[in-house]
Amino acid sequence: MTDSNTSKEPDSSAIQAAITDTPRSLLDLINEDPLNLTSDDLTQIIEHLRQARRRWAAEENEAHKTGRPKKVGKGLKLDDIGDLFA
Amino acid sequence: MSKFAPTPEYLSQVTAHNGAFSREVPGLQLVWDSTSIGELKQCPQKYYQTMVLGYTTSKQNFHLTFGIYYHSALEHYDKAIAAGTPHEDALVSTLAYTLELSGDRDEAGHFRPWESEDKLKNRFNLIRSVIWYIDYHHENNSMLPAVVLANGKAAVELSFKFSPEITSELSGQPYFLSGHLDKLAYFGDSVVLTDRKSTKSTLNSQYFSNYSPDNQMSLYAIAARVVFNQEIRDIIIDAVQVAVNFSSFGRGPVNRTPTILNQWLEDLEILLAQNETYARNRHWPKNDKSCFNCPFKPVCSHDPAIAESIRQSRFAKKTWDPTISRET
Repeated sequence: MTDSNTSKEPDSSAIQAAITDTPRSLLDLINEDPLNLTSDDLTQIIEHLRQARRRWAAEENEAHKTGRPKKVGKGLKLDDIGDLFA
Repeated sequence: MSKFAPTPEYLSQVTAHNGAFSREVPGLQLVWDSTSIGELKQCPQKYYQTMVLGYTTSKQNFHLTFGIYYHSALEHYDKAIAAGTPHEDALVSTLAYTLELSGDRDEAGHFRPWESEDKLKNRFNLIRSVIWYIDYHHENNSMLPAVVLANGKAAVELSFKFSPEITSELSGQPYFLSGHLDKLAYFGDSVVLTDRKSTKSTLNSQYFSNYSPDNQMSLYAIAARVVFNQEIRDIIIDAVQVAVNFSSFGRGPVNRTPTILNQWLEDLEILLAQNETYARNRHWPKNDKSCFNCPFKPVCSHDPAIAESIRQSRFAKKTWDPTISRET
């Protein structure tokens, strides 16, 4: 019952854009004292993250359609054992 | 008796503030959770140093911290939804909660965001994972709503404690099993137990196979049946893969037949009897085939005469008490 969208790490300029186009405003908002954030700020953070997810999903779909080889996520290593129970 | 064996007085002293330990038999643990059972199964000496003496590595465990924040954030969302809060409002509320949760304040009240040493399990990816999880499952109508208990509360982060009907031969006292279930949820017409996990690994069948067999999942399957009297069809591992540029989600079932669970309890009874031998002798032996990546390797690889001084110099004290409930 695994999810079909798991385990793929696309080689994506769009994803990089999601990280690098908005990092100042998004990172600034996220690192701001939460007590200073307004409702609009919170909505803005959610919208930034939603856009990033849509870009990633679109890249995923595109990669799936074209059959372009994708990087896969890492396999479990012994030194990640703590990771299993987190 | 080994000349390095701790005295009964010392064992009583180091466990005095831990409600899981017998007051009659020094060093004998009576209330067990999956973490302490797991430590004992892995290595009795490691169990002794972590659970009995209460030493822990002072290095930040970013896996644990990320997992606690992730659980707590999604628990907040589940509770809001169960209380009738609309999705979008619950999402905003969960974000505000997660931002505050994943940091602390200095004495002057200035906010200090959690700083993780890990490039994946860090604060930014935590917040992204929480928002993406909620949005993804909302869009796909796959949220697995929490069961609402008779008291009107969502069945999330449920602390349990029950007796497996095993009695200590040393003290005559009953043993107890304790822990915290993530969530009882509706899955179609069935009730399932879900357990959220965060990982850097690819979510494939190999990943999910790590939970069968698994100490924690077997204990949780027993607890769901015994304590919450629920006909649990499955345990569902509700996992997030945290990568540099994305968080993705996958679920996998963990099946436990009654026979498997009975055998797990039989194994546990033998393990607890072995631990009574260790407590009686005040000696928890090393499993020296289990030292890879063990934080206590520097202690065990030196002469026992200097073990305590190494522990004091390299480790912090932190009591792990399975009797403490998380319910509010």
